[in-house]
Amino acid sequence: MMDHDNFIAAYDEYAEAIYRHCFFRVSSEEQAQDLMQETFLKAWNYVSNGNEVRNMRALLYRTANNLIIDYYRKKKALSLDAILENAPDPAAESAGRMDERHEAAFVISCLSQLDEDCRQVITMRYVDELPVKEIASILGEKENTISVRLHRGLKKARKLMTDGPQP
Amino acid sequence: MKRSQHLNTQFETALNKTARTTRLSDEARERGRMRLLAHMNASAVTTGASSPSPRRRNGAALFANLLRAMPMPLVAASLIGITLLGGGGAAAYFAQDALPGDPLYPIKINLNERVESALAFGTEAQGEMSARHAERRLAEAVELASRHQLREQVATIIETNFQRHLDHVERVISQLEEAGNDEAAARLQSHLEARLAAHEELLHRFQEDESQQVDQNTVARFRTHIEQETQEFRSIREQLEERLQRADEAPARQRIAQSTYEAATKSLGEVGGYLVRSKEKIDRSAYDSAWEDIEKARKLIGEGKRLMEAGSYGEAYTNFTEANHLIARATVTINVSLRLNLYGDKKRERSEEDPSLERSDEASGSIRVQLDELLQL
Repeated sequence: MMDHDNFIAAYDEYAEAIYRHCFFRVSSEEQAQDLMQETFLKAWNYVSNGNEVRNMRALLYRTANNLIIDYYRKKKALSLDAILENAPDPAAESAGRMDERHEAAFVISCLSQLDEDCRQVITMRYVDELPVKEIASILGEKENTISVRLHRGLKKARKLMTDGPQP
Repeated sequence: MKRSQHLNTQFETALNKTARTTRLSDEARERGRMRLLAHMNASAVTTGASSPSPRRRNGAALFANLLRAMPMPLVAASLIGITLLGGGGAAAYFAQDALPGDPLYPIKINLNERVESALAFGTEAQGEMSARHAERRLAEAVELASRHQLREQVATIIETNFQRHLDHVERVISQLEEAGNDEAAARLQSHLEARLAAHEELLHRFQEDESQQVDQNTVARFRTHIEQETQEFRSIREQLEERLQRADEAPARQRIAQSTYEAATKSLGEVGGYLVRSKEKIDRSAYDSAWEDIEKARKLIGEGKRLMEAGSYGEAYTNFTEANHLIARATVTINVSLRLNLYGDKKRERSEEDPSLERSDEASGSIRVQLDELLQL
C-alpha cells in the first residue's frame, strides 16, 4: 500500500496538473483550488482504506472528474464576464498581456459552452496533454469513443471561435 | 470585427497555450499541502491504515488524535506553536494578543493568521476566517481607542488589513452565489454585516463620550470606513433578499430561510450561554444591554419561525437576519465589557472572544435552565 511519504510526493507531483484540469472544467480559480484539495483528500481516504493503487495519476483524474460532476449538479451557468474575471492572469499590465488575458478568457468561454463529455476529453487531451489511450483508460471508455468526442468537441469549439461564444 | 480574428490560431493550440500559463500559486500549493498533511495525520488515527503496528503509531499520530479532540481554533493555535517550536514558538503564542505598534504584531498578522487561513477548509470556511480576521482588526481599533492610542498611523495599518480581509470575504460571497450556494453566502454576509455594525456603534460611543478623549478625526475616519463597508454588505443582503423574494421555486426559498433559522437559533443558544457564564465578569449595564438584544432576537426568531411555517419564507428570512444582527451586537457588548473598561470600573478576567469557540462543559445547572428558557421559541 502507498505510504504517507509517497502520497505527499504524489501531491507535489500532481497538484498543479489536477488544479489546472479542474480550472479548465469549472472556470474558477478558487473552486478549482477547492476541487484539487478535495481530490487529494478523497484519494488519500481511498488509499488509507487499504485499496491498491496501480496508477496514481489515473486515480486522481477519476476522483477529480467525479467531484466536478457533483459540482455541476449544483452550479449555475457562468457569464463571459465571470470567466474573464477568473481567466489566468499573465501577471502584467502591458497591452500584449491584456490581449493574452482576453484570448485566454475567450478560449475558456468557448470551452465552457461545450457539453460536459466533450469539455472533459478536450481538457484531458489539450490541457493535461494525456494520450487518447490513457484518457480512455481513466474514463473507462473505448479509445474510439474518446476520439469521436474529441472530434465532435473540436468541431463545435472551432465554430464557437468563429462565431463567438454566446454571452 | 469578429472576436475570433484576434486568434490567428486553431482552438486546440490556443487552449494549450492558455493551459501553459495557468499555474497553481505557491501559496495555494502550500496551503493544500498543509491541509492534506493534517487530514492524513488525523485519518491515520481513525483508520489505523498508515499505522498498522504500535511501533508505527508515532508521535505525529498521537498528536493528530489530540488535535481531533480540540476545537478547530485550538488546533490552529497548536499547529502554530508546533510549527515554530524551538524557534519562535513563544513569539507566535504571545503574538496572538499583540496590537499594532507592538513588535509581535507582524507575527500575528503574517504568520498566525495565515496558518489559521490555511487550516480553513473550503471556500465558505475561508470566508468565515477572513470575516473573523476583519473583526479582529475592529476589536484592535476599539481597544486602542479605549487606551487613547488609535493614532492615524496605527489606524492606517489596521484599515489596510481590515480592507484586505473584507475584499476576500466579498470575493468568497460572489463565488458562493455563483456556485448556487445562496445559503452560505447569506450566512457569511449576515455575520459580517452584523459585526461591522456593532463595532461601528462602539466607536460612535467612544466619540460621544467626552471622558474618553479620543482622537476625533481618526475615529471619525475609521467609522466612515466601517459605515461604507457596512453599507456594501447591506446592499449584498438586499440583493440576496430581493432574489429570495423573486425566487421561482418555493423549495429554494424555504431552504434558505430554514438555513438562516438554524444559524440564528444556534447563535442564540451560544451567545445566551456565553452571557450567562460571563455574568459575574461583566458589569450590570453591559449584561442588561446584551440580554435585551438577545431577548429581542429570541422574539424575532420565534415570529420568523411562525412566518416560515405559514410559507412566508422571505419575511421569515428578514426576521432571522435581524435577529442575527442583535445577537452579534450582544456578543460584541459582552466581549468589550470583558476586555475593556468601557461600561464601568469592575475588574474582570480575560475570556474567550467568540462564544462559538467555547466548550460546553460549563453549561450545567442554572445555566442550562436559563438556556432552555431562552430557546423557548
